[in-house]
Amino acid sequence: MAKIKVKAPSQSLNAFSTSSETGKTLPPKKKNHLTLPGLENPMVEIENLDFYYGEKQALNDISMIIPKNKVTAFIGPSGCGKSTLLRCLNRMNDLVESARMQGTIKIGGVNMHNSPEDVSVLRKRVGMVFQKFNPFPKTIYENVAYGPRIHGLKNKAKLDEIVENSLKSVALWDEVKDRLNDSGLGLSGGQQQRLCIARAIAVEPEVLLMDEPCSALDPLSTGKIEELAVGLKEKYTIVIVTHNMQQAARIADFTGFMLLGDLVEFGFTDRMFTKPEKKATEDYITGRFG
Amino acid sequence: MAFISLATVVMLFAFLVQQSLSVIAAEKWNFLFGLDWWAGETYGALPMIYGSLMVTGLALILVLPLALGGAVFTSEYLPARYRLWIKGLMELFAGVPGIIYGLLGVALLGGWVKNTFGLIDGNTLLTAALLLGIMVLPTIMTLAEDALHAVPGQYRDTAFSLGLMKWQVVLSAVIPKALPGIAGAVFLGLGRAMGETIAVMLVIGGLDKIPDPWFNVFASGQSIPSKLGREAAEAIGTDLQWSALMALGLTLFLMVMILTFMGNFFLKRAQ
Ligand SMILES: Nc1ncnc2c1ncn2[C@@H]1O[C@H](COP(=O)(O)OP(=O)(O)OP(=O)(O)O)[C@@H](O)[C@H]1O
Ligand SMILES: [Mg+2]
Repeated sequence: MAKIKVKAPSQSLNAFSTSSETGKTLPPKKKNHLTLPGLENPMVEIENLDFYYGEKQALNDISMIIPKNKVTAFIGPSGCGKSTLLRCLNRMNDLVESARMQGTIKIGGVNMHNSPEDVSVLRKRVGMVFQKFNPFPKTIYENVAYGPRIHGLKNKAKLDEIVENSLKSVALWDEVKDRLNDSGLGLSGGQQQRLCIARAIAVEPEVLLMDEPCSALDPLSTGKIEELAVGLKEKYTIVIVTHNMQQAARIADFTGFMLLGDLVEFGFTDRMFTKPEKKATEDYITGRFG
Repeated sequence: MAFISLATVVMLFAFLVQQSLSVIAAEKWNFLFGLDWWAGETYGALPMIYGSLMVTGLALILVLPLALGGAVFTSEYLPARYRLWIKGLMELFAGVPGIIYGLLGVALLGGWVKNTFGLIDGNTLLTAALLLGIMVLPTIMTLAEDALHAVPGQYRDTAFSLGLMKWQVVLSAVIPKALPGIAGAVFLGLGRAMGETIAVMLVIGGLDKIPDPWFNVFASGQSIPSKLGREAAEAIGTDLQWSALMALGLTLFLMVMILTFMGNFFLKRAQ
């Protein structure tokens, strides 16, 4: 029987305030890292992460290690907190006024800090691709050059090189090299999403977060993005949120299953889809709910 | 509805044209380019056209930094719960009748300009521009704020996710995306400023003359609406003078139309 803790929000909030005020009344939290082979090369280390939107707790005591140069997928029913967890990794949740986070997240062994400069540096290291492809209303070239340029790169030759390399990395170069000065919005949906990936990797991140990057795309474009994700893991650590279990099975080395703000199970993708440890995971992947 | 308003505009336009015919026949191009306006003798409208353009243009230059700064601050930096307060306040200011601004201009602004710049007369092109600037500030600011506020969150998110600082996000992602809307706000504000009559009439000095040099904004001047306001009553019943005022009205009508058209064009494009 699966042991899923579903805390009542008010209860956990009390626990939270007690712990922050006195620091004593709460029993010390245990780490529950999963120790798996292949996890010895950690890129992201999450320890006892709690997350709140106002009064509502959206993530409950999450601990996990995301290994370097692998594809890790988060799956789970709608509203279980996949995007929230993903957005904790590059502190995008800071932009939500009511958001509050507790626990530690290390990227490449370095703790996250709070100053705006540090958050900005962190976001350069942890890039993001969004669900809805959203190139800027600029040229293809300007979309890719946007990040490096604002971070101070002025050398035209170097910018050209970054644009070319980034577009090559997403297999878009051959399709657009003759029209770099056309608007990015003139491309097809799949091309626009690849342009967005190129824009993200142009600032040379170490981790690439993707929140349902294919949900607005046709199957052919989806296949291309999946191929890309697998290829890109040589250089980047990929974390992808998906509604599509087949997609996770196809491209992810590791998969985490989430439910109601809990990380129920995390491990090798093959194993999770063939021999899940928890009943809830099994129910979800066999389609009994969600 | 659209048809009725279009028909009204066309009829108004036709009426103005018909009423202008006799002065156009008498003055030809001298109406647009003549420098002298003596009722009963000659009707050259250039000083008034100049006055309108100068006063509105200067008002824009003076007020734009403040209006845009206020819009950016309200939309991007002010906590959301204060935003509607500011918006409400701006609407309140925008609704104050022009005559009230005019009285305040006479009571305070004229004297201030006179003393600050050591002039004999405080009723100048600059005074009118300052007053107009104050009058259209709320309109431009609130419309520009709407444009900024309407920029989808995803543009901000994307820019933040590339490691940009807040001010970089605002400058490089939000403002460019809002630019058509901001341009629309500016043109609509200008249209409003150009048509403003009573407040300008009270502080512009009422001199039908282009100053020498032309950019001497410490001189008195005359805008088209202030000229119309001053002379309409005396011209009723005359032939040529009335026609000249109608032609002046037609000119103003066209100028304001262009601004409004540009404003709506940009606002449409912004959506
Ligand atoms: N900005 C927000 N303010 C308040 N609550 C939020 C906010 N964003 C998400 N939530 C809530 O937090 C919970 C987790 O949301 P999240 O978006 O992380 O789920 P998800 O697993 O990504 O869902 P989906 O598959 O639908 O994208 C949901 O109950 C959601 O309603
Ligand atoms: Mg989501």
